[in-house]
Amino acid sequence: MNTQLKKGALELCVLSQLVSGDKYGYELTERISEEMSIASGTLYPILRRLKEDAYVTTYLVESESGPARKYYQLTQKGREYQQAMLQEWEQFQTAVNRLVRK
Amino acid sequence: MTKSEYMNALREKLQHYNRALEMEILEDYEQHFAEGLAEGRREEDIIAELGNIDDMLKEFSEEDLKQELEIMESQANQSNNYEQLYRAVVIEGLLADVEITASADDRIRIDYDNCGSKAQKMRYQFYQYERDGVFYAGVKERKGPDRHEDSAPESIWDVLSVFNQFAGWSSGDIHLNVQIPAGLPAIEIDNTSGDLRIRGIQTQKLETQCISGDLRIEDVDCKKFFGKTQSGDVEVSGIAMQLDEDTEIEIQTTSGNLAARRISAAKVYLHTSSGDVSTDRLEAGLLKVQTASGEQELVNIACDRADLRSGSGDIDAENIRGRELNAAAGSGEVELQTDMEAVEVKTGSGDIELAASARTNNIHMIAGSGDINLDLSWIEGASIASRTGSGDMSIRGYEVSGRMFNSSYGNGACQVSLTTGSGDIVVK
Repeated sequence: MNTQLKKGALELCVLSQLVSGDKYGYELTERISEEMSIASGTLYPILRRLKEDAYVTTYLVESESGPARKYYQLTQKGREYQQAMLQEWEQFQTAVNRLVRK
Repeated sequence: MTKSEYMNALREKLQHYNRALEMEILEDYEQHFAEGLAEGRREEDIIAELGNIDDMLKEFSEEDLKQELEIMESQANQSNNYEQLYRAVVIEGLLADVEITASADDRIRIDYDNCGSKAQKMRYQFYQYERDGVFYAGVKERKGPDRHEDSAPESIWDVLSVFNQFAGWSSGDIHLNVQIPAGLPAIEIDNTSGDLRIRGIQTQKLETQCISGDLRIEDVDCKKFFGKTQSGDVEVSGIAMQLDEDTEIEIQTTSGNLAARRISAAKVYLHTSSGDVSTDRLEAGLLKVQTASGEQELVNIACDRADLRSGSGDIDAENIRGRELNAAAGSGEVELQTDMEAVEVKTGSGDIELAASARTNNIHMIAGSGDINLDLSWIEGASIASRTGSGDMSIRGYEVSGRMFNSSYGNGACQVSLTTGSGDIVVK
């Protein structure tokens, strides 16, 4: 798969997972790697980049399982970005579907 | 492969990336293992799921890798014009004790050490970023789970730092140690309850602010220094600025005490409300000291003009040399042992005591109800005009019976005028 396309799609997946509520790293990466058969390690750099670009913020919550859990939360900018990306994705998907089925 | 083998390999490979990135990814992986193991999964399975380390590292851009190298190169080439890199450094320590020292080379180094309780570790975090040529670093409260982000968060640029977050075992505080290279145009440090200590740095303009934290500054080379605290004490020593340039030292506290030693500048302003002011070995073109209820104890001062003001606090100046001295107090007492050419003192109910030197040629003193005590034994001659409303007068051994008395002795060169409402006047 085209790496740019894959990168964008993964970003969209990560952001979309956060729309319904904050999630911690393990929870989020498990959820995505279950469906997409990718190494969950590759999601951490994506999360870090999203944080640097201010689409998400993080906070720590104490956990019984060991070190504190880092939760990811969408920022307003992140919400807007997710919406825009989702729209683009849907348009792209429709176009691809039309083309591949003809 | 075991977890520790995998983590070692990860640590090894992350070394080529900037420090903040390295720390964060290591933490993420540690957390991932902890969660997986807590679910009862085997280390090998978690490793398989996390996947190939090199594949993960491909997600990072070239910039993450190169940043440090680039900066190291640029510094090798431009050791003298660091200001092109940053026009200011701003440090906000919040509750952390902040220590600022000089960097041995051209790099800014920051050590963040949170030895606080677990709750404190959760609550506070270190940050740093760069915007418009200004380098910002400090401690801030983490955003809570239900707090929403209104303003866009700052972009974080991880450069030039050694960033340590130690796992603390003992109860303690949060420390921020910053090494700053010489030659930056401006350094600004804001603290709330944390103490601030600055040693041996060089900059153009240094601005510091604490609320309850103490401020201690030693051996700083700068052209402007502004220091402010509320309840925190201020101790400044070793700031030598050029007297013939536009240099300035201004220190202000509310209840904190202020001590200044070995300082010099064209303008020196020291203000407190209830805090005491003490100085030793101070040199200035213009010196202004202002207190409300705080006391002033000023020793070994050389300045062209000194302006000392106090409400209820006493003013006590010893060995103060220069051209013109103005002292005013409300209910506070004024005691001066001076080598100034002209001395003017005004008080409300406070007493005045002055020992003039051979250089003094003009003395003007007015008290409301206070006594005036003047020692002219170092002066060769004076013309004295004295007046009291209801008090007694003794002028050089002569008990005056009237309310006004004019006298002259020696060469009569020193002009003396003494007035009090109800106080006594004694001239020796």
